[in-house]
Amino acid sequence: MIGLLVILLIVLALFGMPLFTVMGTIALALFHREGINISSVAVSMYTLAGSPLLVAIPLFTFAGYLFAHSRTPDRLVRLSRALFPGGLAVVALVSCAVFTAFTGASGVTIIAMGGLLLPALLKDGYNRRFNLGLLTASGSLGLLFPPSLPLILYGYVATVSIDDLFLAGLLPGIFLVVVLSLYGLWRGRRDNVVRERMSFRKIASAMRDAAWEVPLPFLVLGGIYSGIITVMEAAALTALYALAVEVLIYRDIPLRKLPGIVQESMTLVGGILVILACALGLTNYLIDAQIPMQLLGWMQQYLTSKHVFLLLLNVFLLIVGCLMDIFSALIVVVPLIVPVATGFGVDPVHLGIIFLTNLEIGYLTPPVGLNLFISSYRFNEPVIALYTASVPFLLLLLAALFVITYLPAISLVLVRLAGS
Amino acid sequence: MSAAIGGIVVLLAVIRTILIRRRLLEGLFRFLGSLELAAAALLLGLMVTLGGLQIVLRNFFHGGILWADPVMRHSVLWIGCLGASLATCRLQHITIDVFTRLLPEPVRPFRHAVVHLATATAAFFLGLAALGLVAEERAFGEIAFGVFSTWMLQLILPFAFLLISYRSLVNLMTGAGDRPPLSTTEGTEP
Repeated sequence: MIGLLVILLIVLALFGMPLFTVMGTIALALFHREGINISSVAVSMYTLAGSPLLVAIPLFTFAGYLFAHSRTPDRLVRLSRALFPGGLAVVALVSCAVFTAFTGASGVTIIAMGGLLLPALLKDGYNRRFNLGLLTASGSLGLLFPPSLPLILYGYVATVSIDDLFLAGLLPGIFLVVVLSLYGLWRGRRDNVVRERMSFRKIASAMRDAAWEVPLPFLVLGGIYSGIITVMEAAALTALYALAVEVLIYRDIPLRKLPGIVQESMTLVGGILVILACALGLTNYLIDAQIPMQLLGWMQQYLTSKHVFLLLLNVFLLIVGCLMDIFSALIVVVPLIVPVATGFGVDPVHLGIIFLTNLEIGYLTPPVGLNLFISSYRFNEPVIALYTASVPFLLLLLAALFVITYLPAISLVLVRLAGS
Repeated sequence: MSAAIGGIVVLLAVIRTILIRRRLLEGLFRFLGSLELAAAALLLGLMVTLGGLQIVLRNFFHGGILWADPVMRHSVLWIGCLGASLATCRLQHITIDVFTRLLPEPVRPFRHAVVHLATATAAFFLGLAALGLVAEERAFGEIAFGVFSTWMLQLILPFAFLLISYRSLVNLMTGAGDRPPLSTTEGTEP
């Protein structure tokens, strides 16, 4: 009976039934079958009010939406353009990565930065197809950089130290940007695009323009790494700072637009948190029933090597990444995978980086990667055009993923250095 | 008891649908909507202010507000619940939804109806579960912080889920359909 219900719910989910209702209903049914009062599901929901870490989610999301609605993307591109003379492709990659780290939700980057960058890239002489692929790939680049929400959410769900994750994401994140930048440089050379000379006047002028935004990453990351502020306080600081800078100083956002921004950001927050609330009940049940351990035992019968396990994990996560958005994928899959991966000797911090890199790539994997649809919508191009445009980027990212997966040191070296 | 609650949710949804169709009391509902938004904005403002204050107090005065932490944590719960019911209104819940794109246009209203009905039913049962929690907690009588008992703070859970159930029913009866791919499109345009 319960099997039938689960199948029905999965079919409904594939047709767009909200994920939280799917999780919630399965949890209710499982508890009911065990003869446990269904209010236990609600007990798990209430644990949302139990973690200081979750406080970061609404605050960072709000700050991200403030940046997206202001002229920050404009100033960020101008500044990166002055600082990175290697051509606009590199500028696009770097500025999108920074923007994504602070806004978290992947689609926002393509919407906010893409419209700005595409005409500029075309004007500089880059090929249109290359540009579309580049911007689609940039949409999720930067998820590994602190203080990205997916990193925080992984830390919460997997109960891994956020400080460790923030350190672990740095080198792999830079690695991904460098790999794509090298490709961008090569294409730039080949297509003979315009390349600006480095000029201190331009740097100074761009710096002056963005003078209020430049200190923020240093303030937040410096504060967290030095232990002066907690992640929760860093989130409050970022929101306060974004509010002060964009509304009072730059006046990019008039006061009358604030309610709309609150509404948009809180809708996203509600969407994420309600899934988390419902999934907590379900994962509590699964863990009580020792499902992850059974899964591990079953897998160990067929798999003995950690390397083969990692390969299968990558394939599995790529599929998950192109079917689900990053938040629900984290909430649903992490509790099941972490015990299994630990059983195979994978470090949970390294696993987090593998996880997010996979989901990042899943976003641009045809046929259903979310970034492809957002780009198609934003740039008014058929999705098929984006499939072909993103292939080179997809292949490069897959190669980088391979390196990140099989060389745990890239993720762990900074964590170990900080630990010692 | 649960049948009565279900009846009320359905009745309210029917009344609301009739009002929407006849375009009656629009001002009242706009006002209620802005109250909901104001509550979320207030909580967000509270979180920002308390978080900022804590940094200053802890680093410069070696102190802090004792109740700031539980207030901020409960604000997350409340904002999450308010946001989730807003997401139902705006058809912006996170979904997997790989197949809808493949459906031919004439079948889509049917798909919307099934999804709204299933959502309303699921949210109703989740609301009942949350009501059960509140009742148990009330009998227990624990204080969360200040004058607030835990059950009072938990009230948002059944409220939000029943509201989601009601709103999904309204979506069903008004035939609300496809959602835009992303909400951020408005406003980012220059």
